[in-house]
Amino acid sequence: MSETITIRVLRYDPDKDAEPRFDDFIVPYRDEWVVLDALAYIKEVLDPSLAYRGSCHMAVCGSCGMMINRQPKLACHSFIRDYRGQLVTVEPLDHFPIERDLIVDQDGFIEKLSSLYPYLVTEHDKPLSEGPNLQTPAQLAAFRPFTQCINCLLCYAACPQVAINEAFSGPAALAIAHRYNRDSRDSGEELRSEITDSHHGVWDCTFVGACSEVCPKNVDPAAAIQRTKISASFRWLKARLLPGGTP
Amino acid sequence: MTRRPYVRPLHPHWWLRDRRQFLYIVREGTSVFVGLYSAILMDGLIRLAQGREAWETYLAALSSPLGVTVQVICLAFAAFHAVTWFGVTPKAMPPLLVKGEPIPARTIIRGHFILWAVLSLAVLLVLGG
Amino acid sequence: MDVIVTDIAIVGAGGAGLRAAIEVAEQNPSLKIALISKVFPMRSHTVAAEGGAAGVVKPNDSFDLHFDDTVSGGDWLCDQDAVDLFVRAAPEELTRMEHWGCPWSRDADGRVAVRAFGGMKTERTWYAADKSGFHMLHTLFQTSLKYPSITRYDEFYSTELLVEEKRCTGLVAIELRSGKLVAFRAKAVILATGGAGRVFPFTTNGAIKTGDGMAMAYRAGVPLKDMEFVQYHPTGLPGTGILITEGARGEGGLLTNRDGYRYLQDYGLGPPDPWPRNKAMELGPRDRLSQAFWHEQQKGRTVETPFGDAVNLDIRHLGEKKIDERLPMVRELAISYVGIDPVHAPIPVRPVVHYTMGGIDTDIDAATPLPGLFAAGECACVSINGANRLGSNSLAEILVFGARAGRSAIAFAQANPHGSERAAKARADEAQAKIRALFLNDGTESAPALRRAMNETMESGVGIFRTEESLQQSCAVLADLRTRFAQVRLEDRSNVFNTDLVQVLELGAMLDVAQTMAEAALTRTESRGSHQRLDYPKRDDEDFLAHSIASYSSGERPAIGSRNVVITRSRPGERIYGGGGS
Ligand SMILES: Cc1cc2nc3c(=O)[nH]c(=O)nc-3n(C[C@H](O)[C@H](O)[C@H](O)COP(=O)(O)OP(=O)(O)OC[C@H]3O[C@@H](n4cnc5c(N)ncnc54)[C@H](O)[C@@H]3O)c2cc1C
Ligand code: SF4
Ligand code: FES
Repeated sequence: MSETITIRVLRYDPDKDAEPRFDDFIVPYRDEWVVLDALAYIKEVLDPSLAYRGSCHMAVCGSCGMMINRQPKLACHSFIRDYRGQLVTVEPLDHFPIERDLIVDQDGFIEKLSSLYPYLVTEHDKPLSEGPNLQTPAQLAAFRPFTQCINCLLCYAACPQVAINEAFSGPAALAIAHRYNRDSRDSGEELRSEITDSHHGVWDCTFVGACSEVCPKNVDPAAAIQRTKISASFRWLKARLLPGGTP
Repeated sequence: MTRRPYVRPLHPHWWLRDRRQFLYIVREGTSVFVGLYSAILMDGLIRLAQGREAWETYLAALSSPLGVTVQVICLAFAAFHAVTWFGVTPKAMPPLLVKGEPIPARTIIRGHFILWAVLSLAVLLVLGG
Repeated sequence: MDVIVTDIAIVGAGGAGLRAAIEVAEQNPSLKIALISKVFPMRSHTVAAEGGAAGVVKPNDSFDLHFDDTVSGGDWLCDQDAVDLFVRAAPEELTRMEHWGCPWSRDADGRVAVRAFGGMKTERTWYAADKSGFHMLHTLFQTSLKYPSITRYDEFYSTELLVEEKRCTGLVAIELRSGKLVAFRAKAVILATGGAGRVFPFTTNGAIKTGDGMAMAYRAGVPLKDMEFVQYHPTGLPGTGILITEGARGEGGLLTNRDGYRYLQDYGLGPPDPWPRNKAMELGPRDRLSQAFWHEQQKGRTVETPFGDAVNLDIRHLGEKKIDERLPMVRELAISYVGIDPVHAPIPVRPVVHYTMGGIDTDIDAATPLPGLFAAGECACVSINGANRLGSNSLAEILVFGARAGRSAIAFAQANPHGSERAAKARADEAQAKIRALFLNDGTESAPALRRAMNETMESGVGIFRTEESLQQSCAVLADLRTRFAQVRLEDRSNVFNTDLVQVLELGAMLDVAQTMAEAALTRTESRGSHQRLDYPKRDDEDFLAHSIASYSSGERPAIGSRNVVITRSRPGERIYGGGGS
């Protein structure tokens, strides 16, 4: 623990602060330390009032998304050794209301996700006695990448459309909707299209691609959205051109 | 006493603070010029429909120093637009599988460039020949 | 203070809590459910489980075989009626997960694939690549969004149960975003708060696994059962404690010492076949593997790393393609956290605290001795895990007993009215006063220092191997820490997201839980499963074929009693692994 690094943390305590400010902490660190370890050190030794989220320490629970040197990152997957000699600025995720310090309000995301029927929709309940559905590895591969989302919301912090348009469903929620749409066992695409095809669904996306770049799990929400745009266009055409379609 | 979530105002120069956002905004900006050039082409069509005389004035305007400058600027921005667009396409396409393996992003980008070159050449040959 | 009235309150929204909530919503949509969790459901630690969930599906497998593996794996400390019920229900529950969309890995013909797992005689572990728990948790969470009768209270930290006339009538929780105390009045309460690995310093458990629910039940007079049984997982990364899934060994990974020798053959686990043989060598049970590490360490045959001794987990021979296909997360974790690419070099690993077999005393219907209170998942002890849990049994357990807890709670809620509002308010006021006292008190003890002292004494005295002396010492230290905890100082006095307050309350819970572990271990003068006494190296069925029962007495050390194990058809025998086992 010989080397040290300076960590600048955004602080905001609604009980005391009118608006956010920054505090600097000098933290001795070890080579395998990530930013989350540094925050734990600050809380334990330097300032117990620091508030942040984090649990699994293995990039799978999605708690610890924050802006690290202005980039959306998982604090448990950002090694301090990679910032050697730099000032590390840690802020709460962009584009979310700040509750306190590094903790943001994520209710909006859960609401958007909930509105997209994010579960398997089937026409009939399959009785347990029939056993599991069959699904080939290829069918699984068709949607598997989109099952990898850990809801860390880095993609929301990266997306300029999210910034200017609060109602936009956003990358992760749309990626999860796409995950179910592409699942061979699902028949809920029509249902989801109510939201995905609407203005605040995929059409708010201007194809920036930032979501996919920052995603720590290679979910590629941009791909999910572009593909949904293609299906949405076909649905639109079908509804207008085919007899019996309701425009 | 209780919660008072703080919404940070969007930084006035938010798109200047980050390379990725900056490139995005510039790419968006260039579409103005792509649009401008389409408008010029549309105008050409209208002129053509109006008859020989209108068409010739149109051609003359295009080859005037101002016309050439505008077209060169449009070409530069359109090229930038295309190049940055190609850069993000692999992210946005359904994975193309060859023998079960996805084609790497670099190959896809390269493919776009090759296709671009081939099409441009074809257009040149057809029009020039 | 706010009062919320609901029919069934569930504390914990990990696998067990979500499964319970869905069961209630499906069986009786008219019952109102409050699902309370200190973190968003998808952050619960079920998310970290990698390997998979056990359930019999193959034609060459049977319930009896799963039963035998579980009971002998648990060193005959399992209640056999519970195990019977469990192995029968597991495949159904896993199938249900499939119907809800869980992306289980598949065989080429489209059927769900199963893999081998430590201590299991044959392949019966369902898996979703190496993120099984992650996929189960997200499938359950997303499915739960379907039911309007489930109201979630995310980021509510529950502090205590409401008890009125020997019946549980609700609970008290802090809404973290406002700091407000909220009383939940419910006809039935289910605890699904997960394990308590964080009482140890070196663990695969996330920061949230602090045994809160165990402590809440314990303080309300419900005993904790078999707390001395703490599982070490043999393959954690040195330094961080991050888990390398048993799946790595299931796929053929080898454990070697500093000389490249597969040392497990020296500890009755051989013969060292070059490829995985179920229940032998690397696929032996966790307790044996962790103990073998300790012996190698004593012999000086382990590998030194900057973070202490380790052995090598070698998966190089699987080849890059198979590693990427079957064990992508293992590769990712090893590269990130120890800077080693397992395609080219072996991964250093060492035993690390992983799972608490003990927990809140429940019967096979998930009911605790306190009417109206139910418990399921890692916080509970129905006794299917006995003295040593088999890997992949607990992901199945949280489903089977989560659902059962749901059904039992429905029955109870339909048969009983709410407790009285006045009593609830009075109790909640007391809880409020306790927290206010923390805000006002100028304590002198630092919470991090107390926590470190607790961690140290648990590691040194209540670790892989224990002795009378080490346990006596730990018990004394813990008793002292509990006294000092009364003077703990709360540094942060703000209301919104006071995570300092949460950590102090979690520490209080951990101290209670740690004390039951140490005291129960002291009382058990035998070696069984994960509980190994150097001074009593033999299993003693005469005196100890029994569960330990730790009961709370305010301010005192826990009273340790016992209760006989339920044995239906498998008499205690020798646990045989390696060549002798098949
Ligand atoms: C790294 C790792 C890998 C594992 N791999 C496997 C495996 O391959 N196979 C297997 O079978 N098992 C595995 N296990 C074990 C298994 O994952 C757990 O036993 C199981 O997931 C526990 O689920 P649960 O629902 O009981 O608890 P958890 O998922 O831990 O959920 C606990 C819930 O309780 C809530 N809670 C806790 N305290 C409070 C409070 N005071 N107030 C409000 N809410 C509270 C939390 O917020 C959370 O929602 C693994 C465990 C770990 C740590
Ligand atoms: S899509 Fe990626 S970045 Fe967005 S929430 Fe999911 S895991 Fe995080
Ligand atoms: S702490 Fe779980 S993702 Fe970082």
